[in-house]
Amino acid sequence: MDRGKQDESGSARKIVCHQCDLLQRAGAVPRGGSLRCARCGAPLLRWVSHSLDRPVALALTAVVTFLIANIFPVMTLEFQALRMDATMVASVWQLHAQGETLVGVLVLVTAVVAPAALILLLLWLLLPLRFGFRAPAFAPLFRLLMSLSDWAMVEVLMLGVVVALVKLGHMATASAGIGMWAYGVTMLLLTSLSSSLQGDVIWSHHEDVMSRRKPHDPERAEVAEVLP
Amino acid sequence: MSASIGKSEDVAAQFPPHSAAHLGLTGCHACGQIVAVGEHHHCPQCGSAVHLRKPESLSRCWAFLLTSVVLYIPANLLPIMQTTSLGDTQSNTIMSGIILLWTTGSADLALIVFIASMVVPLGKLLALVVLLYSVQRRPLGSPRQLARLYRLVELVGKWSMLDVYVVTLLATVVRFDAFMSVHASSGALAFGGVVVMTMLAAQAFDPRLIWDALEERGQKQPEGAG
Repeated sequence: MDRGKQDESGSARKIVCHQCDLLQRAGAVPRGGSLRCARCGAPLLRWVSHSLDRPVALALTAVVTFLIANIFPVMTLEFQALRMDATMVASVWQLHAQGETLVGVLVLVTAVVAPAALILLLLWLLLPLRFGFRAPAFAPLFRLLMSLSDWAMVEVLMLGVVVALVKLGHMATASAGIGMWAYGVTMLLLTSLSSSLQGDVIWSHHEDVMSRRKPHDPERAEVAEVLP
Repeated sequence: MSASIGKSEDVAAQFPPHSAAHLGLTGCHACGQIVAVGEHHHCPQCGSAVHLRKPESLSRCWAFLLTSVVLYIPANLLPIMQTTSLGDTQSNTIMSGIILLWTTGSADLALIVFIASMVVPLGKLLALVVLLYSVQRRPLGSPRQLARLYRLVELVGKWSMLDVYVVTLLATVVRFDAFMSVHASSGALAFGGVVVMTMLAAQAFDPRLIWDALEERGQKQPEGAG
């Protein structure tokens, strides 16, 4: 069974639409394309390369850019001789100091914890697979990754920084910091990783690697024909 | 099918003939694996809990939805931030912040914030009511339209967090003591609550019910299902 991938033989496999429960046969996914449900139109399968090099490289890059994004301020405000920076973690701390701890928790989870967990968990699952073995706690961490994926809101934060910059623009010198650009790059990396963040794609990589690792099956071994 | 799932066959028969549930099967919501629900409570591949339909989908969806409706009132009436400038304190609600953006010459951005903070949350609440009503009473559109509406709700949900981020950033950088400072206030919490609750409501809703209801009506009398 080969799900979510180009199937050279084009053999139809059964899949269930997660949005309307229609049981259907999925043919080969066109290269670079995707399959939609025949009834409700929900996206079912996307074409994904068998290679793990690309998602692993993108995720490793995202680790670096996300670190930069959280070390440097996303924005800076200068007013006469005064200067105020905002890193995301400092902003959360500031909310806590102003008595809005719950808002701080919401911002921390959606802008820092969930994106970081998404990147690290994906790397935890895919990097060992790239080298032919299965990471410890593969299934539980996969489930954690799936439950977190809705809560990472990096792209919304980017727009939030833009709005904040404009709001302050007319009263002081507000500028985007290195952190914001690094957040921007992280957002682009997460977007290009979005197909690798699909559950069925992760498991088809897993299946690829595990089936390659299986000991040679004597039943299926080709035996040289003995000549008379 | 083997006799081992005999018990679940009665349950399965309630589902429309083209659905996987009719055969006692489901696609795992996390990894897509086809699982015989009668034989497994958890997906044999990834270990997620599997059900033919999300358990208590409608009541959980209503609960989250009503919570977000209640939170929607303070979210719009309470100030989301307070600006203190030379001893003069101004409170800003979501709407007054949008008007301020508009009058200070950033009409385009005011429109974006208006969509993210007003149109999206209200649209989401209405869309969820439409979906729930369609499943429980009478469909307010073709199943394909309703399915598209559900996908739209899932897609736009997080964009309402925009104002929460804006307040967070302003409260962090505008801290020049008595001269000028911005404080986050409790409206931001209510607003963040609306975003979280509507996202949970959308997650609780099972879009497969749209199609179950359709088949049910096809077999029985129109207006029959309640």
